[in-house]
Amino acid sequence: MDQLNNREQQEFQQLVEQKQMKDFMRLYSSLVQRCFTDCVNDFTSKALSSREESCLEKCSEKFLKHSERVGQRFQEQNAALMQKR
Amino acid sequence: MSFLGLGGQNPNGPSNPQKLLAAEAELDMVTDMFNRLVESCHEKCIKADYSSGDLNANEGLCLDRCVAKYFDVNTKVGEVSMRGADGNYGLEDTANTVHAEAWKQRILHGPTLNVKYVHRIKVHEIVRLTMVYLAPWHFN
Repeated sequence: MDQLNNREQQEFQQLVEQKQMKDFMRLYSSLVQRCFTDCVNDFTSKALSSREESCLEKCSEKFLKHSERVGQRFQEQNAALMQKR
Repeated sequence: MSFLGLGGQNPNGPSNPQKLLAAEAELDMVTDMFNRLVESCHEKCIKADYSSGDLNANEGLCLDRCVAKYFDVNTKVGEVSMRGADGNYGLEDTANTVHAEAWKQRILHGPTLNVKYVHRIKVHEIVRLTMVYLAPWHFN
């Protein structure tokens, strides 16, 4: 298949931007669910405890570092696959 | 300039909806695979005790291997699927031949089918930058 021409690239870029937003929303709510499940288990108070707060901080920070690292490796593997072709 | 598709395409010509659909399908596929990868390797490599916000050395190593293996599994599953009696487990008989064709392409070309459209799109960068924009408190 051919490369996209200028107009197609523009339209594709718009598509990418719409999907980015959707993907961010998906990632964000899944991160909330993950950290809520892993960090919040005590319902004797309606406020987050300092222990829960610190867990949440680490949980979300760690997940972002995790997805960044997986992203780097993903690109490397992808590039290697393309070279094989 | 080209006429009737001869001599290459016009860089300023009208857009071809079919090509855009193919590019979109590919973008969806790559994004989907990336999201599954993030999910699977998090489950396998990251403990939920969260004593630190950093990845430790073991977790980092585990993630690197996890991604490499995920790609290998992808290739392996593709090879096995191609090994049917007539080479593709009778996919030709499928009523929806378009679907069968897509599946064959998927097997033949792996997760990066026609990557030329999307190889510059860095999924994690996109997500990270969007997060910095929408959820800056994570980065302070």
